[in-house]
Amino acid sequence: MGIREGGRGEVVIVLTGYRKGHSCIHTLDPRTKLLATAGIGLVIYLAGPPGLGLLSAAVPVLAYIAGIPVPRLLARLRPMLIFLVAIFVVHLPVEGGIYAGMIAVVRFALLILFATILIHTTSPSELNMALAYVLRPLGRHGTDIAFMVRVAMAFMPGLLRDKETVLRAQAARGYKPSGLTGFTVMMVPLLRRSFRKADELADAIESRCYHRDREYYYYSKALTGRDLVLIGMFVTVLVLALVLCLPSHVPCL
Amino acid sequence: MIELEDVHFSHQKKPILERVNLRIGKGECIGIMGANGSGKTTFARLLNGLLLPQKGVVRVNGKPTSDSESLLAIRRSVGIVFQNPDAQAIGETVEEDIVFGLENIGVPKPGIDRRIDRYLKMLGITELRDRNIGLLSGGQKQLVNLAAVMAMEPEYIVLDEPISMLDSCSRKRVVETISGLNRAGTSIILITHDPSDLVGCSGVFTIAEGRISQTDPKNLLATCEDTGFAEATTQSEPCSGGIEVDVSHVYEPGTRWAVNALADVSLTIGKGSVTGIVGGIGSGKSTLASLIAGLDTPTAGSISIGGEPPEPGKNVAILVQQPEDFFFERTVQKEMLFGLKRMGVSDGEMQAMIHSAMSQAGLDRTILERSPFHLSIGEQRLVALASILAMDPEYIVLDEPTASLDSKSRKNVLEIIRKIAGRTTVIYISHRIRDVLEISDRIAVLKHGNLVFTGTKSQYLKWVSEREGEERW
Repeated sequence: MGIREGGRGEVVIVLTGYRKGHSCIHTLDPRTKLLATAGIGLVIYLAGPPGLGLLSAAVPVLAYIAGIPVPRLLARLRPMLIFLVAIFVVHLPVEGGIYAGMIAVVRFALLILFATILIHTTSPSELNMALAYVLRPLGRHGTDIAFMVRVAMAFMPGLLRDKETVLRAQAARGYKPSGLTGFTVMMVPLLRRSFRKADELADAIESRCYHRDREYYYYSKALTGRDLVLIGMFVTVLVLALVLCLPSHVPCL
Repeated sequence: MIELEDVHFSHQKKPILERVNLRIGKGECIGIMGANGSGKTTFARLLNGLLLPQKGVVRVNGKPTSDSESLLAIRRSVGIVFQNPDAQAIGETVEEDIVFGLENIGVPKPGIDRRIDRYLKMLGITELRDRNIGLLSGGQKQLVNLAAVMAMEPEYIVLDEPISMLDSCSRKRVVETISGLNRAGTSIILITHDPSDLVGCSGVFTIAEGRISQTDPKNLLATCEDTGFAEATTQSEPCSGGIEVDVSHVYEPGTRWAVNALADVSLTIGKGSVTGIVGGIGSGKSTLASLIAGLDTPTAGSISIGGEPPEPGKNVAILVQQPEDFFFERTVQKEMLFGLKRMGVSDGEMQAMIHSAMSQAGLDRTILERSPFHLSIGEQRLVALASILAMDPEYIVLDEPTASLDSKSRKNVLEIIRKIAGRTTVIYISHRIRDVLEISDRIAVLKHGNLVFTGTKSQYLKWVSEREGEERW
């Protein structure tokens, strides 16, 4: 689920893998990146083999610009391998299933890769700000959803780290994981730690004056010409895709 | 002013605080002490409305904490730094974490930048600004939590044992910073086990059996000195069959996240000795503990224990940090049996081993049928230690075994270590140099992953005196 990183004396897992950078993708407005990724998702759904080929070629180019090593990017697919295989297998019984299965696998993999580029180049705070902006029409519910996503993102690495810590602590008492026999050995301490931490995190959030009317402004940026050009390009491609593809219900790009 | 008037608070019908009356004026610095489980954290949470008193009233600047309309203003006035450094980070990077609180109270963007710079510099952690919080050591995380609350510039700062994870240098810096803030007009409510942190506090209060009473700080400091820096009278020479360490360790080697945790650390630990390993935050102490205990494999070099590689539960045992967090059984007896069952000994032998460990740890046998979750933290720590001792290890690694314990429980743990020394080889890892000096035969000092000193206690004290004024760790 996350990238495993070395810490000082403990295994640390960071969920998003974001590192501060100065590439032109890093410096794009997070709203632009969020909308562009959503737009790419739609294009992936509508695209046929040529379009998918083009998008696949774009992945290493974008990774290079963003300074993300391609092997590290592809490593993100590893945990999803079982799903990719399952997607391929369920298509097999249908006529032309191998072809359809391959297309579906490529689409799913591309979705993951583009989302990875987004979260590798956008800090959780920026993503949160972008999400809160996009969900503004929902009013306070939008703010709540954006904040819940942020809290979950803050909590998840700790949860994964705790799993490692509990495993090591029990291993120190001679425990060796095997099947479901160690379920309580792992789960009881893990749940106790998690519930206690959730309480403590809630206290920390409340103590630091969180309220639903808060504004996200420190990381907000004004949309620049670059953002507008990019948004314009995506809107054009999307409109074209919708106009050309939807009436015929076939991939057309 | 914060006023507590006739405050009562109970949990599951058990009274935690009763008839508490206290006034904390602006600009005051007060210390709160008490044993584990005495209600200190409950007291802290009552001060900014995280908990509401079941009887009585808590007022901050005249506003009762029960008034939901005033709650935001109260929390803006009263900031709390909690004890657990792992459960307070809201942002992914240090900067994001500090920005969270400042955006909540509407500090303008240039003001946010100014405050981040100022408070990170004040705590000596400017270089951590863009670092991922998950990658910091416990002590560094605690400094970040402190910076995040201080940057909100509340009128009152409540510190709930915030420096329990810090080494003596960082501790000194934090105490100085807090004193500086206090001189500048911020009220400080400092909750701690260590009376030496309370220097500069105008009043010290103790919570015991639900009641709060004022204590003379001079008496507390006298108790604190008791444990002192006693000179070594015996020096054990390394004998055969000890631990040979010759390692380097890098986390995530070959990636841009690579962290050099230990660099060419060579160490010989004599059989039957107590070796204290000390160092600052992020110095590699816990990494070395994990490697010696066989929980990790070094990226270069090797460790041998009596000529064999370390194997946890077989030739070496480790008491991990906060071991009570890993209890999962319904009774203490079952908890102690967990490790023993994996050793392949008979039921009768297991019972004998448990009883022997209980007596070593000074625990009453009646505790065996109780739930480990219903014991005090001091008893839990002793049970965790006993469950390791029951396995009768020849070599034992103790990673911060006295962290978060009050002075009575701490003394109990140190007494047990004294008892087992000689028969068992002990590697004692701690940031509390006072404890290390009290029980260790030899001391090793780590600094930024390098071994900078090894020797006896008297050699250590000489080494320290030669470096007066220098950063030792």
